[in-house]
Amino acid sequence: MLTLSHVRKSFGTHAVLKDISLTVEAGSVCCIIGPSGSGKSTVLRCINRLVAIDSGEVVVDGVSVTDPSVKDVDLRRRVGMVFQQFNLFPHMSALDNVTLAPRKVRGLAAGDAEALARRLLAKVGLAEKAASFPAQLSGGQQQRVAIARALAMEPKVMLFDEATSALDPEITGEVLAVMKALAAERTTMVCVTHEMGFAREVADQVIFMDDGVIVEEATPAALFGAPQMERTKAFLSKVL
Amino acid sequence: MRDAAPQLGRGFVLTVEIAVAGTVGASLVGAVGAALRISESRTARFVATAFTEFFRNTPPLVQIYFLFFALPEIPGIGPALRLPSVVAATLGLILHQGAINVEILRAGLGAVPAGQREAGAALGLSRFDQLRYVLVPQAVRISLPALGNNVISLFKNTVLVSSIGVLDLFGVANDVIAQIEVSAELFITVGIVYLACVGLLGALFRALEKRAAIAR
Amino acid sequence: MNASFESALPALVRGLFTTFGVALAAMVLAVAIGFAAGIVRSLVPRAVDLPILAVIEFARGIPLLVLMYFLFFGLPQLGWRTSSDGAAIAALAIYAGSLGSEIVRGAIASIAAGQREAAAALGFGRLQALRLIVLPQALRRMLPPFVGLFALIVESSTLASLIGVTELLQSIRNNVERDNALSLPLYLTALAAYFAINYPISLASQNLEKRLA
Repeated sequence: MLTLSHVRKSFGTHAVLKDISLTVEAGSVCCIIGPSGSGKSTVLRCINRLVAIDSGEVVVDGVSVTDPSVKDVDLRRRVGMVFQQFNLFPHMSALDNVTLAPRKVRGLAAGDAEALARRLLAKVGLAEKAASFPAQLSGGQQQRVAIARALAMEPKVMLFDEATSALDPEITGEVLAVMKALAAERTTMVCVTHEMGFAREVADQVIFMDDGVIVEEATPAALFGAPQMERTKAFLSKVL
Repeated sequence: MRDAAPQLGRGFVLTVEIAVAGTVGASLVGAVGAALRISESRTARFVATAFTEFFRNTPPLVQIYFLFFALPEIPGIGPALRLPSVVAATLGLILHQGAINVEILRAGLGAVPAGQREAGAALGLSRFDQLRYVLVPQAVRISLPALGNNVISLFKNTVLVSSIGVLDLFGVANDVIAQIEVSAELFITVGIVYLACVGLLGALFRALEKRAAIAR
Repeated sequence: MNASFESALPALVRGLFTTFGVALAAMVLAVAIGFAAGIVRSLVPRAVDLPILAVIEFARGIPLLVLMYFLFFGLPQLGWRTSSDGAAIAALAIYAGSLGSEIVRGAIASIAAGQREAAAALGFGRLQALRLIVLPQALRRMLPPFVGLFALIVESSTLASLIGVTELLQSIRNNVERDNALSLPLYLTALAAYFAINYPISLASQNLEKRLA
């Protein structure tokens, strides 16, 4: 479903990604963990071309990201993204936030888009908040609307960039619950996360990144239970 | 002076018409110019910046004179550019206040958090749709005080149209004064009318700012 | 045609000097008025502030041209004669002075309340605190908008041409009246001249803003 091959990316003289290769099977959950500055968020942004890679290959659902003839919109219809800062459009209600892209990008009629939006808002537990504006919602509610917004495009892959990092600890649960439900439905997900519990419980593969390279990649049981590399052990001992 | 009231009334209507046309035109110029100024095309950015800096930093009165007197003198196409005084004057206001709007909106767009553009792009919205649905609406809300000031400036600057003979409220007032000796009272009266309109516009924009704050 | 354009130049230069003269005189007065009004407004209680605020809103609310015409054409009717230069400078000074007072008041207010609190805690009187602690810091913040205000005054000086002051724009118009064909080069020159004056000022203001804010 998703393949990165020997991806490199530098910002100026700073090499952020130094030869990254990974594969995510359809219907599986891949969690990326690691210290800040390791390049985790950049990996996600290379998948939907928010960041252009310097060299290497990225293929999503059979579509090559590096192929210039592939338009941004064709790529981004296949990939949904949820941001750490939610990035909801503050001047629109929750419902309008969710219906905007289906109407403008997928070309849905207003009625169909609204029905879809209400269904998704109900799915994330916020059916009654459809008319609310982001400023009237808590952080956890905003992030759940953001998830509904990304799902409205019916993407093949969902990217989560530290989706719970900006939330108060008591609230992370409601967002993680939605993410777990998506995983249970066999959604292909790539999650950059600090929530080790979530990774252990839900991931099919866990990738530990540090300083622009993949240090270790294994099933959650193997990586958390018996880490092979020193750097992995050092990181885990600090966060667990 | 009472006999002049109908004339003055007509002049006032013209003032309002010019102000409305000017505001609409200046808003369009501002929106298009701001979008071009943050375009990915270097040519577009350069042209938009040159236009903005030129019309922002030159006096509107000189621009009006140029459009009315100098355009028709351009060798070749001159005669086709002979604009009626109302058109030349309104156009001058649109260009000057429009350029100011471009600068205001550009600063406003810069103040919209970067994540907003990212989110719009990640959803697959085209650059145009990002601007139209996500970025410009927020930029306008952010810039509302400055935009309001500009609308008020434009309204006050409508008096400049009288310099090329347009019979707006001020133009009529001057005409009347040329005929009867009531300059002090008439200027005070006219001044109060402008003041009242400016006050109304100010209150209107403050109300808009309150509404925009809720939505944010 | 070129000969006439060149022969117009001396008059244009004289006009330019008049523009600067008027603008500078107005600026000096505007700064004085602005400081006086701004500082007073920062110190006095609400009740005294309101009439001052009313005058300022009046000066900002009426079109500058109306004010100029009133001073030049209207006052003589009430017995006060003024020169055209005088009326222009006075009108510009009143208008810019009201804007200046807002700049001063805003800069003073922007100096964190903590500063004023600290000064009060140390035993400074309000006027002393203002003079020794708040004002020096506020002055830095006032500079960029005041530079911008000068550009606005130069731009508005063109209105003086309408009451007969022979500044740059009026010099241009006099020459155009003699020969219509000159209007294109002369008005282009006018636009270029004002641009050459105001654009650097505008850049300086933005530059100062970045460095001082």
